[in-house]
Amino acid sequence: MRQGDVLRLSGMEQAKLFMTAQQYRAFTEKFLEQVRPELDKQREARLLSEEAAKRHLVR
Amino acid sequence: MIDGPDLVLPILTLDDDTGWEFLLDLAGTHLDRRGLDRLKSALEHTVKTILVERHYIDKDYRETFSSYHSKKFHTPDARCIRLHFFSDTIERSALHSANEMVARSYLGYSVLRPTRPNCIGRTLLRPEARPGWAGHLCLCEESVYIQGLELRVSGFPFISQDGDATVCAQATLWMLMRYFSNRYPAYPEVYPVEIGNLTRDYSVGRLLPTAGLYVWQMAEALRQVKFAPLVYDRGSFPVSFDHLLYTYIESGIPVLAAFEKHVVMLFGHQSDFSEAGSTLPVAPSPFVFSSQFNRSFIGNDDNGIPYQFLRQTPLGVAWEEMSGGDASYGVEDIRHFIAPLPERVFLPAESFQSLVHKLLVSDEFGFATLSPRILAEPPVLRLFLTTGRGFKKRLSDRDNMGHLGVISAYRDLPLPHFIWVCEISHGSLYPWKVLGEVIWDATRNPYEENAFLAVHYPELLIVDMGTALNRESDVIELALGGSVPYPIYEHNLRERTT
Repeated sequence: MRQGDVLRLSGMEQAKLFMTAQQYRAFTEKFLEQVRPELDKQREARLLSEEAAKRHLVR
Repeated sequence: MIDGPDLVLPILTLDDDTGWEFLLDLAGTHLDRRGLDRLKSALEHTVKTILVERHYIDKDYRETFSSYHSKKFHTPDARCIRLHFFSDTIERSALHSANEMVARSYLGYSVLRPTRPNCIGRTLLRPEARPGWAGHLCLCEESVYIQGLELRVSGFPFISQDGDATVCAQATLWMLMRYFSNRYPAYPEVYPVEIGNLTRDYSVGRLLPTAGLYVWQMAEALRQVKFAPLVYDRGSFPVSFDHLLYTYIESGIPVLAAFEKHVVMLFGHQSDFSEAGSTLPVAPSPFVFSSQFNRSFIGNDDNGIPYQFLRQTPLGVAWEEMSGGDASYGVEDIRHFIAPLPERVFLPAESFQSLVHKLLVSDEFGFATLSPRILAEPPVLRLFLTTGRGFKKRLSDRDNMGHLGVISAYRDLPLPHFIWVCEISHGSLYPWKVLGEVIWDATRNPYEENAFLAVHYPELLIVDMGTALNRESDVIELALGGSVPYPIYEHNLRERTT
């Protein structure tokens, strides 16, 4: 049995559902679609940074 | 006055008749004029007494001596001299038992090596040794023993290059590695001469004497000792370069900053919050970032003295120069920096910033939709990395995180080893209080779904219980009535006040 299927947090006895699982899946899909181009650019910039570092001698 | 000039441990008390020049005699050939000038320029305003510990065996120099100097026909002394600095007058008798005044006035030490052109070896000074400034710094602590008396000193390690086994690349790597090994047992203590060996498998040219290192070799050396470094190139991150550098330092991660031919260690910053209330966001972002208040980076240049400054006059205006070294540099001259991240931090700063920025302006989770109190003024965001353990450890010091429900939930909430935190404040509250935060799993990659753990606004706390419990997302909310601002998180850096 997995741990914690019915666990709750102290202080959150009055908590209620903010989003259903289906709504949250839809949100995260849209969210990642929107942010992905920026993340892709950053990944490219990091690779370019590593390449540039190969030509940069310090002494 | 000099007490015991012929003893193993002479004590130099600086007064009208006895100045720093007397060190040249007491330290013999280990100290040259250049080294004296550097020490004096760093310490002359605070030091009253100098203990000269002769025949000191320095672990860092001894390894270099064994691997390099001992193989020469003409060999330097295998032993060093260690200088101990005090801000008060110290009598010899005070060293023979625990003495609060001695402990309080101890400013740190500097090892003198018999090397040229730089004789200043391993050095650890309290930031207070250099007066007249305030800032936030990464610091580590060491125990120091003088004739059996244990003293503690907290600072950032410094060493100058010896020109043989080490040039600026190795010296700067040493400072970084010694900081981490002093502070965290997971990192090994590495000696200067060993740093060259860390690049043995991908060396360019011979290891000794060294001709310098490429920036990528420095990153590889860090990988050999358990870091997962990221290299940032100004040309590849033209807009966010300085902000990202600041964000890593704010996370308590010192960075290696490489100019065209030189590299320095940056490990702190000075900010000016006097205009925080009137600082506006830089469009198109609706947010003010805490990096906008930064005026200086604090660092060590191995050619200079500890605790130097790369100053920034008002935003967008040229940075002032770092002084005290052979050459002068400005922040705009930094071409690369290396952030030595811990192995388990998979989410880099720039990705966290993009993700949290997008979340905070989203219709579903954004502050404009959910938090009228935050919407009332331009939000100030502070981004930093920390450990889940450190975050929880300081919950009790932070006024219940604004609401009893929040501190109770955070105490229970399972957290990863590393978390990214985005604190949300207002210019009228910053840098003392915040209104909320977003907590993000730093062990996720940026493309993974469901990586935020909590979104906390004054009006409500949203928690993804599913992510916290390692199962499918389950996003719940708790309404927070009567929430109040609470203190910012202050664990990553130590504040040094004037």
